[in-house]
Amino acid sequence: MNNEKINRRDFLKELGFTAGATALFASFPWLSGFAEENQKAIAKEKLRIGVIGTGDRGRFLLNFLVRNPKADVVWLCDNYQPWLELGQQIAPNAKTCADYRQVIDDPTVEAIVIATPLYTHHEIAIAAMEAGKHLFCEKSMAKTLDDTLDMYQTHKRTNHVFFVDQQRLYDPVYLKAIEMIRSGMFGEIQGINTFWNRNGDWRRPVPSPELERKINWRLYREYSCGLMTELACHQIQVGTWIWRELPERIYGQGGITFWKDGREVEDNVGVIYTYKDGKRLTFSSIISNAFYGLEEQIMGNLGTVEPEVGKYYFEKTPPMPGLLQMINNIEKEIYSTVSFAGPSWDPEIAKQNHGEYIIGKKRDFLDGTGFTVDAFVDAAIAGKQPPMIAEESYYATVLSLLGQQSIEEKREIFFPEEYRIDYL
Amino acid sequence: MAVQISHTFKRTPSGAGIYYGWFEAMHSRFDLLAIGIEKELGETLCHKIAEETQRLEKRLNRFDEESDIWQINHLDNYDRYAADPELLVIFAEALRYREMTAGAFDIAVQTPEYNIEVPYFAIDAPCESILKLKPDAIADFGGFGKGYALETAQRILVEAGVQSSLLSFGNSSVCGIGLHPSGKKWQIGVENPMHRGTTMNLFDLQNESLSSSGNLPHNRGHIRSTRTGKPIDTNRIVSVVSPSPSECEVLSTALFAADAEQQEAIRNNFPHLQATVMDFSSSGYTVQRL
Repeated sequence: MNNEKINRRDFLKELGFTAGATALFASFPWLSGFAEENQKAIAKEKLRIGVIGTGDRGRFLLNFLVRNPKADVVWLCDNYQPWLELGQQIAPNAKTCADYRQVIDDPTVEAIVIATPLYTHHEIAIAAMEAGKHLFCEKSMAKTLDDTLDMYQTHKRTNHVFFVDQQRLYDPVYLKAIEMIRSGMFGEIQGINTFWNRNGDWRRPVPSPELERKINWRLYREYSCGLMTELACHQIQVGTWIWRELPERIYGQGGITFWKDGREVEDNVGVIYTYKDGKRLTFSSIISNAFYGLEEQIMGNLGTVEPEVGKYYFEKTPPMPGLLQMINNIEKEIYSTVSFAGPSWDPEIAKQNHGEYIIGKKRDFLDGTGFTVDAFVDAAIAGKQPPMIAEESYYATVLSLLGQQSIEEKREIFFPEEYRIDYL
Repeated sequence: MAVQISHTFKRTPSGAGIYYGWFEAMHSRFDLLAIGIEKELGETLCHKIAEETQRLEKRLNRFDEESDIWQINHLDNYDRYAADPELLVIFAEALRYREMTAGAFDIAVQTPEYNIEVPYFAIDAPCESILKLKPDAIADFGGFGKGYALETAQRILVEAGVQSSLLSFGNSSVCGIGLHPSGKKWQIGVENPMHRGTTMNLFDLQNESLSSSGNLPHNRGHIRSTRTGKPIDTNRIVSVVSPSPSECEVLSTALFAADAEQQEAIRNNFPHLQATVMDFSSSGYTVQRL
């Protein structure tokens, strides 16, 4: 868990900004909680948090929470005892329970973290928001479009802080990549090709058969929308973020092509999101071949960005690596020399397009989850909802669900106006 | 065809713009780093430089049938070529450098059976024309064009009020305008061709240029000795620092090709010159001020 290596100040440094930098916060207003003055105001506060769901993802989040001095995990809740016990190993001082209502009914709890199966998000989230709690919910937001809209509207009405774990919004590599894209250095972005491939059955071990559906809920339609809500929602959000618009049409296909083990959700999906003028974002996922892994290939007429690899590439002549390093240093007010001079430009070497690192170096931290959790804690203490977080998350879920709907109904879907909110 | 320019734009913590634009021209990459300007101005200046560079390339590329140089090279003996003031100046400069380097630099060195004692081109200034004095004379501006284009780019930037900038043309010609944003001089290293990413020598630039000529391990012999007419294949790089990019370009080539007598003439005619010789091999390198 390499997020330990990078703290808030470093997070800003990774982006080439020092704390309080107005340019950064103008581009990414939801980061403003990291501003020095905002940090000072909440430095000695502590947020009392109840974590509902201590499975793999819940414990992942818990690890960040227990390291945050402003977070006090007071409740752990899970209706599966082995997971609750594993959660207790991370937060031993927290009280435990199996019924989430016990946590929400505790008036001393200020914030709720939901990391339960998708089909339960809506019920718990609405209960938490109606009880006046700040809320951090794992993605996707909900299993249906109506539930997703209801959660968003409830958030707007109750006016408490609401985060969904769309961690790319707090990932330094993505933030830097978006800044570069907006600067025009890759030209007009024409297409985004996203894929998330794995080679595994996506199952958790089941100690006894009656627990199959409880533990492997992701595989059953009653509880899950499969690959679209578990994986695609991260990558689809990148399209909304870059193009600042919604797709007009969605067309998906999928099936169970390899893991024919009684599961009900697809193990092989592909969805095309078509935006204005025919720009496209595609998502595909196969979980029986991991060769190409995970990536978002963001393609402009001048270059390509691959944020997961952490690199960008130019279509024609690549830039001079030494100068890019010097620019990174100037951005951080560091004086440096650069050694590139020589008898002649070496086209053989210059043409080798190995790409450049987006943040000037290889990623040495996991992803944006830790920063997202920290930002939630800060926002909840301050009682200020950061702009765009709820809205980006809402559309990420809506687009995932529309993709799934298209796969299931085997038809093209036009973006339904009734699910449009006052954003974009 | 319009030059395809790539750009990046960032800011320093104090808000100063950092513009970087690059494009291919003259079979090389041109890099422009300019500090303290907005993106729009950076793009405008880079486009202007690219257009100027492309225009000069069209004039000076001896392999382009539409270029002035191709047409001059294909004149008959003693034919004259009507030249505009720019071309006259370029030829006059080239011939002046031939004189001042004791022939170590000569645009005619690619002529078959080249002889340093023979004049191949002359200028008829009153008639605004260039004379070709030998039927097979070949003019080649390979060792001059990039420096001249860099000088043009430098002028464009200075006239636009740019106070801090680093330019590179093919890595062999570098120009530092003003100072690095830290307030120190631009410090540019000559890379060790045997060990990429390591530095043989550093040069400080403030309103100065650095030009390097010589051989790379896998690309050698492209510079000919004007004394022997033969390619030089030693593992050597000569770097020159001077306020003028075109002078740098010419003199680094000349010093690489020069014999002792020619070196002496160059030192006498360009007393302000800072020249450094770097000899390298797989076992190491030496650096020597000339």
